[in-house]
Amino acid sequence: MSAIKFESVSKSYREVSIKNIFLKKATTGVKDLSFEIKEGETFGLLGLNGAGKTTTLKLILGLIRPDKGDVSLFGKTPPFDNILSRVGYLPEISYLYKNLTTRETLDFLSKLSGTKVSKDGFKKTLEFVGLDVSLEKKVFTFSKGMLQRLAVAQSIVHNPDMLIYDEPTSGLDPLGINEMRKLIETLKKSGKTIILSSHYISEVEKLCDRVGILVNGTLVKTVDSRQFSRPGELEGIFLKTVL
Amino acid sequence: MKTLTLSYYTLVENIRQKIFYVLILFGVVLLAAAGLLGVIGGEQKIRVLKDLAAFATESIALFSSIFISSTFIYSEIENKSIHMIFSRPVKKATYLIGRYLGILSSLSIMIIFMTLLGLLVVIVSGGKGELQDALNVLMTILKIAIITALALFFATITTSKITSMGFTFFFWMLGNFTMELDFLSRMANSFVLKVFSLFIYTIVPHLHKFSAQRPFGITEFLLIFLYSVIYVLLCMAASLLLFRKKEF
Repeated sequence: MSAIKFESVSKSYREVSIKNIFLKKATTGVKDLSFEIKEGETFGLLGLNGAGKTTTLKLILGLIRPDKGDVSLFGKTPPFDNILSRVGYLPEISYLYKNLTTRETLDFLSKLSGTKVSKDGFKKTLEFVGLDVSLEKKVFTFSKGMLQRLAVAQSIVHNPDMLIYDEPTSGLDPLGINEMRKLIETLKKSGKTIILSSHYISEVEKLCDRVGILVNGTLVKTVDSRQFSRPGELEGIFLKTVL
Repeated sequence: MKTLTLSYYTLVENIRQKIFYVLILFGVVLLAAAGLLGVIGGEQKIRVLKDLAAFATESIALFSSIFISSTFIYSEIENKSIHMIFSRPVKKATYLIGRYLGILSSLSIMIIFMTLLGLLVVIVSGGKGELQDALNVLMTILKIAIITALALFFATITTSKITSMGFTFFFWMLGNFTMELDFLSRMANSFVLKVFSLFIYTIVPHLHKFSAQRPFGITEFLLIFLYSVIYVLLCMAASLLLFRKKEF
């Protein structure tokens, strides 16, 4: 069964110019995007900055609506409503509520996902992401690495079937990147569908079953992991595609 | 259930904000000043004290309401924490109502805290609390409920925090002069001015009716309560209509 299906999806952003109120300047987000991701698959989205990776993820989550075409999530078209309880999202920059404690953050966000998790459940989630802190520690005291771990924790605390990760290693040190990679590998092995957006090719190469390459909002190529079985092969394909 | 979760954590977030304590501290200073000014009140000392305390409480609550309500949603959109919420099965109506109730509860706690402090100043000065004082507190909470709903509405239609705060403040000001607006609409010779003043008179909240300066009975209180509920519901409905179209 397909977890995500895009059929000829286009999305552009319009900005009203102050100089001329009638002039609407449109920027392409994605253009005529069609692809399908199967349940249990790990799909990577590669592209340069502004290629449309985040727009694609926002369309999956229903944060923005397509101008044209259809997006479906587990067979349902927007509004996704309760189907979103099966999804965990890690934004590129996770602005967590700094005045809440670790427990409150996980409690707040898991309840919004429609799941009530026990204190033990929170502890297990934190253990899984390698965050060794008290549940009552306030978020504003966290380092960047700890914040990223808590952000991952909030994405899995309600045990979703699908994970959508936007640049999960952004801003992490090499050790943090390695740990994040291992974490995603474990989640992959547990059978979750993972959509990974990144501009770190090696990360995508190691983790994904299939990779879509976006150029200026268009999906120009989809490659299977068999096509990049040797290290560095994906980089060659990517560079050939975007240059 | 999700509305309650949102309002509870909005309340927790708000009461842990430094600005919240700064405003309360400012209110305490105003109450202390009221205590000092009450001395010059002569025979009317307790009345002057009560009025000054009510004024201090209402002003602080008003500025807090305008500031918190106008900036809360903007901040969530700007720092993208709103993505964490709407990537979950949360309806936009649930979000708006939850945030509204959370902000209103934190402001109500602030009002009750400052009222109790004011009452302490009155008791220390030889006065005592009356039923009318309790009604006045409820009136202040109702006023703040309206202002908070208005601020959320302006936060959904404007594109900057300052504009949203400005519009809310302007409506609050006009709301205190609705009698004059009514008079203007009846006396104006120009048709355009008549229609315009009548329009403004209708849309601004009739805050002068909430005045704590005069005694009022239970019936009047219930009518004002009903008016407040309807005004808040209309503001929230309008906010939701606009917010539904918003993309993040």
